[in-house]
Amino acid sequence: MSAPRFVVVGHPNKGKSSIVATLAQDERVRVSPEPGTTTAADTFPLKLDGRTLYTLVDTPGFQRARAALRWMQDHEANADQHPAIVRRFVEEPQHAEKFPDEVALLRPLVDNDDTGVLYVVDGSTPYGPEYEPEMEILRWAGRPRMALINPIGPANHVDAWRDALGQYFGVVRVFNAVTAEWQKRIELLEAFGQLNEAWQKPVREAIDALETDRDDRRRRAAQIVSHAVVAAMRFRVEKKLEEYANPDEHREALEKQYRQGLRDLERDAMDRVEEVYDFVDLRRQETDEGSHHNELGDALGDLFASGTWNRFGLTRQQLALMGAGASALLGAGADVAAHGLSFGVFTLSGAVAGGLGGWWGGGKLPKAKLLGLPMGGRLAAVGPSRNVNLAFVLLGRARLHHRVIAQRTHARRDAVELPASGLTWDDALRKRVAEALRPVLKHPEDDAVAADTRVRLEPILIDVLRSDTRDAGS
Amino acid sequence: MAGRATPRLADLLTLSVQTRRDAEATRRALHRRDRGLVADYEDEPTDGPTGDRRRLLAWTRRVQNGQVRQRLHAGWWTALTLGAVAAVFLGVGAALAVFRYDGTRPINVLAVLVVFVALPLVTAAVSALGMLGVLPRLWPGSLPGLGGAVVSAVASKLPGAASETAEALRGELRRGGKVLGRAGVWAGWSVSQVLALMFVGSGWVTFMALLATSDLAFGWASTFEVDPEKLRSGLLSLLWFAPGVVPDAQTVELTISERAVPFTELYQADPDAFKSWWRPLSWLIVAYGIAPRLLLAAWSVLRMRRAVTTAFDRHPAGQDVLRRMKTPLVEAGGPNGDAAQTDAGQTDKPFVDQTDLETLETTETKTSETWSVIRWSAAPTPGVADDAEVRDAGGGCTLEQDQATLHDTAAAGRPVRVYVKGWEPPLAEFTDLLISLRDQLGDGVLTEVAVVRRGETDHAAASVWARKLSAIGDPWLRVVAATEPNRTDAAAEGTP
Ligand SMILES: Nc1nc2c(ncn2[C@@H]2O[C@H](COP(=O)(O)OP(=O)(O)O)[C@@H](O)[C@H]2O)c(=O)[nH]1
Ligand SMILES: [Mg+2]
Repeated sequence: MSAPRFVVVGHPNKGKSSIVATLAQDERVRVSPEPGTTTAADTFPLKLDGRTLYTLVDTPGFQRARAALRWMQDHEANADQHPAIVRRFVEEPQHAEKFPDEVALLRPLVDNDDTGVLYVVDGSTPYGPEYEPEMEILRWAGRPRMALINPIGPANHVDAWRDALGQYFGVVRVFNAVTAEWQKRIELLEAFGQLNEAWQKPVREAIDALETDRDDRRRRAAQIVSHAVVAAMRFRVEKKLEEYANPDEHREALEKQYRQGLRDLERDAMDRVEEVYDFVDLRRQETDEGSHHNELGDALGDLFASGTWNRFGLTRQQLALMGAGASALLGAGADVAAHGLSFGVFTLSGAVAGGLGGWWGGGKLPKAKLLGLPMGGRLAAVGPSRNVNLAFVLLGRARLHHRVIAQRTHARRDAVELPASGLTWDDALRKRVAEALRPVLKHPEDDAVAADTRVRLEPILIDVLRSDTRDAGS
Repeated sequence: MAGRATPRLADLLTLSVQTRRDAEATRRALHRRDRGLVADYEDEPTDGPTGDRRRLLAWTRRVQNGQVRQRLHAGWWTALTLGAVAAVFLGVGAALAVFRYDGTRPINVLAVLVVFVALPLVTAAVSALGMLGVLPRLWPGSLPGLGGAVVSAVASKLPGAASETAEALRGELRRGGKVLGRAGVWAGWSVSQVLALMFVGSGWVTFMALLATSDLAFGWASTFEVDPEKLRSGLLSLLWFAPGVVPDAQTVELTISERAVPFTELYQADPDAFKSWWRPLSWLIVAYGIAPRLLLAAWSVLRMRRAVTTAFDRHPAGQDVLRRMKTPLVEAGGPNGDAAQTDAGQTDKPFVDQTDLETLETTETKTSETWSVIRWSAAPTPGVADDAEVRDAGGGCTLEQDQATLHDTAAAGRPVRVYVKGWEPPLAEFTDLLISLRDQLGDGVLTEVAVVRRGETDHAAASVWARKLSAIGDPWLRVVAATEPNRTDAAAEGTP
């Protein structure tokens, strides 16, 4: 027994490609409001270690169903020969030109015995007589089949569709191709397996593999996020000044540079999380200083808008609750957190050579000397932030972003939209995160400490991201 | 000018150019403009094709203060004049070359005949064949493309108005030249005939001028062995209407150029013999270079006029303009006229797609007297009179019923409106039927596909219809939107 194939067929523009994109988690499936976008059958195999467990087939829609059915009826002998006539229809040389779409969509049905048919209709448009020839042809093909009602628009004609489809299909289900949550997708796959006794095992196996894969993606996302947060907490920009230069003249530019650097870190991490979920072409406009009116910005706000900090940051009480150690660390940071904009720590070291901290400068000063720069200049720097709230803001945004991406179907063609809020930290979790971050806040300069922090943060984040997407199984 | 009922090429092009410019404007603004244009034109005949033609002509001459037409008209004449100047230049140049005489060698009679008789005669014959429709059959379908290539090659080199006209022409030719129909072809023939006439005519005038101002001597030399007697009899039969002008046998014999005796000596002996050739040459040019071309030019100009009138009468945009001119404009006026206008403009465009569709007034009814109505796949038919005959196709119909509907509708020959469901995509089985319907109805018979929408969500789908059908590229095929009455709230409504 070979792996089952599930061929998605139907009228044009009813979401066949969308269903395939969603189930195959593949955004390359061509989904388009233009009918006739899919012109040939496309196969999307699900493979486990190179072994195909099942294959989804996207097909063009019926274009001349009445004439095709008429041809079949004209060549009818006995009802038990119907599948053979469908095969003849497909193989008839003239039909490649006369019925290109029907041939392309019926060929996968006659090619392989382990084939199930999924007939897709739009539950938001009324049933009409033009659908009957299609369904009749599918009946003739004689494969196990199921009807899927995909409610594309707001109107509701589902009941009428159930009645009509019930006459041709043993199983009728409602499935929203574009918004279906993970659990719904798994249930649909299970239903595919039930079309034929022999398909249950490979489909079950496939579902298990998909669940494992999904958990692995969450793990990889957690890794990316913890990396980014630790990097953000260590981030610093600096500028070497002439001995008598006025540091205030450089302050603004440096702070701007610092903020932009953090934005870049966040943006980069989001890109990579999207990649983990196989979204490569996602539209997510970049957040830059001054351009707050974009998809991400509208929902999440700019990383440094004061609203963002109120939404994602912790209150003073929460900060205090985390224990004396942490609050001592935070110091004055807690106050500036409220408006968020000036949390960067602007420092000015007396003389470069004498240096403050020295760990950033460590790599640079010798170089400066080598370049023959005058001694005695001063080093202006912004960061690293000692403010734990920065970490919580970044984490809160990362959680929202991850949840939206993890639940997004690959049939969607709109830009990513993130809700303004919706995820909370409970006290225990908050404490665990703060604990994990403490070393890097204390010693941002220490690479070993940073690595250690990442190791401690990651498992916590895996739990967080899992519970954020808990409805999706696991 | 207002009273003249013969459309010119400029009128035809104005319809095309102006409607393309109008694509940006809202329907209400266009209605306001065109309804206003006709206000002082009420006393003209209002009914029948002539009335419509007059109305449309008035429109082309008044829309945008007549500037579009003026420029197109001026452009046409500028281009023609430039062409004529070039042709005259060529003609004079060719004449100066073949009639060059410096006393050492005679003018070659045969060269004159080749340039000003044989060449024009051959091209005239080819033109005549072309006009009779023999040539287009040799290159079927290539004419609009060929014309477009010629026009665009010339267009960039023309001054302002003329290049606009050329652009307009080229635009039409690019779209397959269907709207221009034969008018484009005949315009091409007219221009070529007039220019050819200019060439030969100016050559002949130059010849006369040279004769009047200097002594010319002719001889005939040929690399082929031409028997003088045969040459003479040939000339006699060509000039059968004036045998007296053909030189006698002696003269013909005498004026052979390649001889042992130098030309100057022979000429001295009998100058008149060498001069006498001007008469037959002049006659030959007039009779065989100029006269046929004159006839062809007159004929093609006449045919162009007629073709322009035909194309003008059935210009697909004409129907829209006429409807706007004839339909009373209803405006719910607010206190601030400008604000009210912008609002109206916005509600005119309910969805952002650029393929905005004209929405049918549901009060406007079509009866089977004037229109054929087809209902595809049991679509609703808003705007059809209750007693109107509606033919069915698609959906639950058999293929035979489709064929019968197709046949009956084509046989009626009236404009057609086809109702389709806006919430379903256009299928190949529909476009198959539509294309054969259009084939059978032929150019000039309007065919409207009315896409019936129920709620806002069908708007995007309707624009899919518009795009799909516009890809057919048939100028007489229009897509309009219709709203199903009593069913504006799609979400609230159940199933049929
Ligand atoms: N809102 C919404 N749109 C959908 C849904 N399914 C399909 N579409 C849209 O309908 C159009 C056609 O979808 P597609 O999958 O290409 O249909 P196909 O022609 O049957 O393959 C696309 O613009 C989809 O985005 C759905 O469940 N909800
Ligand atoms: Mg598709």
